[in-house]
Amino acid sequence: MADEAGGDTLLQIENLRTYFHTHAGIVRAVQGVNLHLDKGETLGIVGESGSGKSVTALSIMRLIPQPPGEFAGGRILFRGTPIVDVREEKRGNEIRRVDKSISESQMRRIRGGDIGMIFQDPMTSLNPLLTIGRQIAETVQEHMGVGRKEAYDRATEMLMKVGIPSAKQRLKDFPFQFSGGMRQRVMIAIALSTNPDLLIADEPTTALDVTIQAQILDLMRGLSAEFGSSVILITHDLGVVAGMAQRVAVMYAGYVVETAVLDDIFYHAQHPYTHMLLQSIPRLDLPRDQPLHPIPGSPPDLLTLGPGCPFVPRCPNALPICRQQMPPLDPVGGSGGHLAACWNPVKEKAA
Amino acid sequence: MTDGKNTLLEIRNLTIQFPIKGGFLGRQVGAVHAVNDVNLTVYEGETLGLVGESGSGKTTLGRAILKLLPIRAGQVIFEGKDITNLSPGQVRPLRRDMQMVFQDPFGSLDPRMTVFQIVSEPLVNFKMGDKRRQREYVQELLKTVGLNPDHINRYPHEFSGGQRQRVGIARSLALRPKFVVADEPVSALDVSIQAQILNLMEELQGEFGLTYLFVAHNLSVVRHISDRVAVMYLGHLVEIADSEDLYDHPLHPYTQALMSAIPLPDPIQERNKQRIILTGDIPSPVNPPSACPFHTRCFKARPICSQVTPAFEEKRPGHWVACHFAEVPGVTRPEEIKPPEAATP
Ligand SMILES: Nc1ncnc2c1ncn2[C@@H]1O[C@H](COP(=O)(O)OP(=O)(O)O)[C@@H](O)[C@H]1O
Ligand SMILES: Nc1ncnc2c1ncn2[C@@H]1O[C@H](COP(=O)(O)OP(=O)(O)O)[C@@H](O)[C@H]1O
Ligand code: SF4
Ligand SMILES: [Mg+2]
Ligand SMILES: [Mg+2]
Repeated sequence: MADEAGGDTLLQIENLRTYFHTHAGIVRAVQGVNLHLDKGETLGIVGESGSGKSVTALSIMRLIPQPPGEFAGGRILFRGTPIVDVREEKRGNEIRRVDKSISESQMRRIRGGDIGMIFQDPMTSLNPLLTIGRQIAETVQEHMGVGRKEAYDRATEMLMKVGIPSAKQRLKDFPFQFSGGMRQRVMIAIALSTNPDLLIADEPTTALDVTIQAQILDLMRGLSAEFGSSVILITHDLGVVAGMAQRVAVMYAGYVVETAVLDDIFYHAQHPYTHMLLQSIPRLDLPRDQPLHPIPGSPPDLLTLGPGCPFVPRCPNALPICRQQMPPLDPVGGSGGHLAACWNPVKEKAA
Repeated sequence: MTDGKNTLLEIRNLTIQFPIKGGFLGRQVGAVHAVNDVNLTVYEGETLGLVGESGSGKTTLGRAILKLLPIRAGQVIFEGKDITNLSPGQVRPLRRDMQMVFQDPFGSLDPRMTVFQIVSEPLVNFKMGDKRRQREYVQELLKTVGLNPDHINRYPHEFSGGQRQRVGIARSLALRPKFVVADEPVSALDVSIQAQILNLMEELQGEFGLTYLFVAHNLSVVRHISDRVAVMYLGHLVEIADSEDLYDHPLHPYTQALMSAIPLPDPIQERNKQRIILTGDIPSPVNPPSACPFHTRCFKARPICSQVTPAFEEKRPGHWVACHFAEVPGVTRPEEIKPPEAATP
């Protein structure tokens, strides 16, 4: 569990800003991400497409292509190690950017070893020309310093653990010989083969059918308990978060706009966006004719965002200040650790 | 819902296969069994939901009804008239009554056409009205679907995903159809936008007296919008019932598994719910399992399931199911829950 001093904190992200320089202008894909992750915890990151979830994940892995990408500021500390540490310092009249991030060779050791990642589409990260066995074994050899034989044994063991039948024979198969669900199992096997401290899963089940999704989520629940890895689970599906996470961060337009323990997000949402999002989805537990309450308008265009809160054009609670200044991510509500970035949070009706 | 309703559309023993060509002579070497012996009635004014996982034949069924695909066997009867074997010329007038809304608001609109050209195209095809009248009419339609009529000369890329889907809906309504097949109309949209489109479709249904076949894989969305729901698996219709009845008392083991697999946006319900985790993958429709198509993954399967095709039977009023072991409600939900395949000791 987290202690106040952060002794059990595995990952800490402070004011992360990741930008892309495009023909059309600067895309501020991530412009204010603050979050932390404790050991053994599953953190859900939810948000609509384009809200900056994947860019946040790729920033943690330092897989942002530079250029066009750029770490414009902020810190990502993994066990205290600065994966990203970019600050602006004033020297006299000059403002200089100081980059204290670790080197790429240090990063290579962390990536794929201490931190594993699963993507929505396993085909993008599997090599179509290499057997599955070789791909797992190479990861294991590189990061765990073991021999070939041992690495292949580990590969077999991992395929068994993720529920692939006849694991040993299937080591010789190529990615295209697996179904979508089985490929995602292979990705999980690779990601967990090095016993990582942190597993980042970016929409791991979005492309899968619902019964296959249930299989993969079930597998992930079991494995994260068995391996004791901390997990960042990225999804746009509030149902997936409700069944998997202990804590949640809600993203909107490149900001974490609310974060809290699972139940507080779902039963005591404070940010108008979170609150309205929960009201807008059809629910199986409510009468069928219950009207849906859509969020008016559309998600913002990151190129033309004004200075204030990005939710302001869609927000029923908006005040004049909302247009001028981005609200800080500050404590709200009862139980500790509930933060929201909003000038005029949702007032809960007394029960 | 079904009592005293007029039948708008009837599908009888509909079967659709796609040939697989192979070898160097390009001979047919097999077939995708996309839709198998499906029987279905759609009543006037209702929304019939059609759910099932990808590849189960939903889109194929919808396209076959609209006569966009060759039908191998069976009949499609629209307003009492057998339209199965109409020639293209005979189909043309039908296009006014039956329309389609597509999943992809990005791919389904021609990027080089203005909103006016897109929405008025069906009018032009049917030589309805002059340019000026068409313009006024399209502007009215845009207002109806919640778009700014002044944006009539804009191009698709100038709109957001939700707005593009509104353009697609406006186009489908231009000829005042009776029947609309909406194929995953909200699946590509952001969660916060889906509700806007669902509400719009419900309003338009009342206003235009529409009948919908609403195809989707999101079961929560389908329950919300549908009066009745049909469940497909590997080209077979396995269950159909009133929406509430189906969700409260799913009788087919596949439907039961599907329902239990829906992630609920409610932590307490997620913690307490019973999960049925199916084993294995969805089989290929090229080589479908014998008899009951679900027997390879079914937690209730007995030897008979791979030998005898279960009949599609009415187990309760209006509630049809094809399973040898479909329980009558009041009896238990499945207890035989298998762990996920193999592995962890
Ligand atoms: N390589 C890139 N170049 C330019 N823009 C990018 C790049 N990668 C991501 N973006 C932009 O960053 C924003 C956030 O994207 P992303 O993190 O992928 O969103 P999410 O995962 O929440 O759907 C989007 O507007 C996207 O277009
Ligand atoms: N034009 C086609 N040619 C060959 N096979 C097709 C064609 N259209 C669909 N199929 C196949 O038919 C089956 C049913 O597909 P589809 O109706 O699109 O399913 P759904 O809409 O439920 O996902 C799938 O196996 C699909 O690959
Ligand atoms: S800061 Fe203002 S606009 Fe943003 S969510 Fe809060 S009340 Fe709404
Ligand atoms: Mg993403
Ligand atoms: Mg389809």
